[in-house]
Amino acid sequence: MKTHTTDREADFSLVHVCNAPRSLVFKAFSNADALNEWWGPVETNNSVISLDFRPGGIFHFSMEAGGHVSYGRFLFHQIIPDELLEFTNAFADEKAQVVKPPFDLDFPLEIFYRIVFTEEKGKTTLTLTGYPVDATPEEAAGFRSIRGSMDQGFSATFGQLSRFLEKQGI
Amino acid sequence: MIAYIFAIKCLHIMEIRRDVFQAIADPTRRQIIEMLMKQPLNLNTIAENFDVSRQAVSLHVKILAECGLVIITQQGRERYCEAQPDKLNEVAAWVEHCRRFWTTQFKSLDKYLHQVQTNKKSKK
Repeated sequence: MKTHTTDREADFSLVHVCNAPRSLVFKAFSNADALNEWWGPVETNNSVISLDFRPGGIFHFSMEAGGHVSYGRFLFHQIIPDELLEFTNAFADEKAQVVKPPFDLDFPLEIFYRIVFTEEKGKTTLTLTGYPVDATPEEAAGFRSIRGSMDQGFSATFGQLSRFLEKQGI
Repeated sequence: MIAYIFAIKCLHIMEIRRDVFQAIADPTRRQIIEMLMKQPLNLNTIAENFDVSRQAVSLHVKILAECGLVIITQQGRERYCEAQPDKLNEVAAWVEHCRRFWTTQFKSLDKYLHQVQTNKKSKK
């Protein structure tokens, strides 16, 4: 299937076309048995611990490699069946509390993802966008107070940055 | 004035964490970085491009500076802001990591979808 990057309004975006109808693809994200089959890094053995598929609900999963277990979670935001899925993704502990990523690489604590599902001729296009989540609730609250009428969320374009980075040969 | 007090309060709170991801977590800050990548600008010029107060923009620029994405230099009465491209490598590394991760996730999803659909057909 074709995967290519786009120049959309987000920090990170990826478009992917699945050779399956939209309802089936959405079910792969919303059903614990399905997630157990396909979700998780290829380097680890992944298991679904729990899935509470509703806004505010949590998908908690484990990733095991060489006797070492780490955990991850989704915290679901907006859900429109067969159309839209929003969640924040983070590393977690065994109680599904957010923990720092176990990388040397500098990495955001939490990433907000939005996946838009569209279907054409039996094929489903997934448009994924993601950006790092604001560091602290205090900061977010502080900015909301002084931001006034500014739009929140995806109001900025980051295309320029990606073009710039490409030019740098990164 | 209220905005100013908020700004002062926020600055205090936000000394907790400073990294490039915090810098770009906010859409206004992303826009400021994009503007500054084209050319260095003084604070007033940046502020003119936004609906929010000058104080709010100033706060965003201060955070960008603390995260190392922007350098502020005083030239007479003006404060010039300049983007620091090297620091953006951290963002590039993160974006690349996400891309690799999701590309493999989608491959795994395809495999699963293929299996499910093949099983359905064979059952019929």
